[in-house]
Amino acid sequence: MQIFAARSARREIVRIMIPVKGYAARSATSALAPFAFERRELRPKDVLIDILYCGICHSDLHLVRNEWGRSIYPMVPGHEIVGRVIENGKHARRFKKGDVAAVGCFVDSCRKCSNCKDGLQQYCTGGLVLTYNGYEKDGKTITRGGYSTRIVVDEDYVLKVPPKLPLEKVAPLLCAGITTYSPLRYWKIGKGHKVAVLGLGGLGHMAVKFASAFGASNCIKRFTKQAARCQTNGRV
Amino acid sequence: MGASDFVLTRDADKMQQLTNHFDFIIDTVSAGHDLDFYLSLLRTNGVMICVGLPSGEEQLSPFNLVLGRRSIAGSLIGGLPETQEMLNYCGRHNITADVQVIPIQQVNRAYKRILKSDVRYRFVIDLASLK
Repeated sequence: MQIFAARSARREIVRIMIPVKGYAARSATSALAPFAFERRELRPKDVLIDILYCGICHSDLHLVRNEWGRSIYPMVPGHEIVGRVIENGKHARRFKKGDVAAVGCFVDSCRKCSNCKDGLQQYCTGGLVLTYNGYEKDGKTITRGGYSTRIVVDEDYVLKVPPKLPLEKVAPLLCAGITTYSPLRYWKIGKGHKVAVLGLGGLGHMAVKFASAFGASNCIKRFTKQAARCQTNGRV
Repeated sequence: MGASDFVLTRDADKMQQLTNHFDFIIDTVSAGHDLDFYLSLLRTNGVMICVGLPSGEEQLSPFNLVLGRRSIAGSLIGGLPETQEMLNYCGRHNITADVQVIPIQQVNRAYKRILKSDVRYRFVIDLASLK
């Protein structure tokens, strides 16, 4: 009996883990370095995504360097993820193998609070599960992000990517894009509005693109020499 | 990109002309900056929307809010339906980010460059470099 238990436990260990290669920060002061870890076995509603591209968000820097005081190490950053679905859980139906899929800043939420029910999962009051530097719903498994080869996510928290867009340019939409799109929509910013965008980084440049597309007139403000260069190149 | 004007914040004269000028400010700055100064650029009823998260605290005097019935607000990413809506919108209007693709082995160098604002406008890691 004992032997049987040990065997099945061993089989369990082999079965539940999906090996992944990533880059991780071991502390607030160490450089990112190669890091091997494991993802959970697919649950019925999970998809396994082979990651193609992951954007580098400024939050990655803040969190790697523990500038918000809540970092968990080793940390595999990255929440601007685009890849292809390579495996479906038993009841996962939204994606076919080979479909392009995207993952943003969170991979689960309580699904019960009023914000979740309104589709405002980002403001979940019952425990938003961040894509990295957070804990899964079990409260102990550390979430790890897109600076890695593969990720396992519940299909309901995976986005579909429209065809024909260059995927490396899609990745930043998952944070920089939605972070600027959402307030522009909420405040109904468009024709007749004068909008200033402060800062011209990943977020700022997307804010300018969306505000222009919505018909607002834009003005960018920037502190550094980089912007002056952009201006003379006629890129802005 | 679609911007109709462009101002360096060091250009004091130009900044002076922009007082009481904007309906909205989208503040994406993730380093400390003078919120009071930027609030003064808003017209009456104007809204400043913060989406960047600096690591320190910001100072704010109520004067610039009260005198122009201005607001300061914040916004965090988006929910699943809106994120899908945004991606679909980008597909229809061919909107994507301007990126510089790097192999993951260059990630630490990329971090240093981001801190110097030396990127147009997003680094993206090509994970083929790790496979």
